[in-house]
Amino acid sequence: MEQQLEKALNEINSQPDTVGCLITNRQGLCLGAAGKINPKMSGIGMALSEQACKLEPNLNPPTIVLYSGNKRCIIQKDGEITGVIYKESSSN
Amino acid sequence: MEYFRPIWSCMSSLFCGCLHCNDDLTNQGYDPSERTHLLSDTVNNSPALRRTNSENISSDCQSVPKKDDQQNALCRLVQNTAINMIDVGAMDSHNLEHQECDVRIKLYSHRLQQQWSNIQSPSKRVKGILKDIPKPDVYLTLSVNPEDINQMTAAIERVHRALANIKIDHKEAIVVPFRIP
Repeated sequence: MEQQLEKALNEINSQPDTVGCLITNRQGLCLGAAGKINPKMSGIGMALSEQACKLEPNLNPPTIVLYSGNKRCIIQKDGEITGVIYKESSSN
Repeated sequence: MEYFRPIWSCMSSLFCGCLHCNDDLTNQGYDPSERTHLLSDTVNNSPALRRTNSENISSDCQSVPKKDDQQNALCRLVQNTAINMIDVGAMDSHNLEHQECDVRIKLYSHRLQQQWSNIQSPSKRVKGILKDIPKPDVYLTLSVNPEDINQMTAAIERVHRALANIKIDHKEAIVVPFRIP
C-alpha cells in the first residue's frame, strides 16, 4: 500500500548531502520518514510552512531554508502535504 | 633618578667644596619661609645697585660687593635644596628584590587587565537579532541553493505521485453488522 511512498522517500534520502527527509499531512501527522530525522519533527515542519504561507497568502507556498553550521533544513508546503529535508554539506 | 646623583654631587662640590662651605649651615637656625630672602642682603648686593653705588660714590668701600656673603648665600641655597629634595632613587622601592619586582609587575598588569576589560565590556557587547550566532556574516551572505529547491520540488512531486497510488484493497465487508441479540 505505502511501498511506493517508502521507495520515494528512500530515493530522496539517497541524494547527495541529504541525511533525512519526511512527509507530513495538513494535520502535521507524519506520512513517512527516511534517514536521520525524527518523525516528531512533522508537526513543527508543517506549522512553520503554514506560518510562512501567511506572509504572502496570494503567492505559491515559499521554500523555507534554515541554516545551522554545515547543516540546513529545507521545508516546502505543496497542497495537502509538507516536505522536510535535512541536508549536511561536508564543506562550509 | 640615578642620573641625578652625579649632577647633584658635582653641584655640591662646586658650590660647597671649593667655597669652604660648612656642612653645619643647616644647624644655624635658618628657617625659610615665604618672606625669607633667597639672598639675605640682596638690596645692597644686587648688581644694579652696586653699579649705581660705584658710579655715585666710587670711593665708598661699603659698596664693594662682599664675595664671601654671596658665596655663603649660594651655599645655603644648595644646602636647603638638598634638604628639601626627595631622592626617589634612594627609597625602599629601589631596593626591591628581583622576585618581588616580578610579583608586583604581575599584580599591576593583572589589575590593569581587569580595568581594561571593564572598560571594554560595554562596547564588546554584541547587539542585534543575530547576536547568538557565532558568524552572522557567513549566514547573511548565504543565498538559497537552487539545487535544494529543485530537489525539494522533485521530491514533493514524487511523493504526490506515490500518495496518489495508495489504494486500499478491502477484502472484508466495510460495514460490519453488530450482532445484537
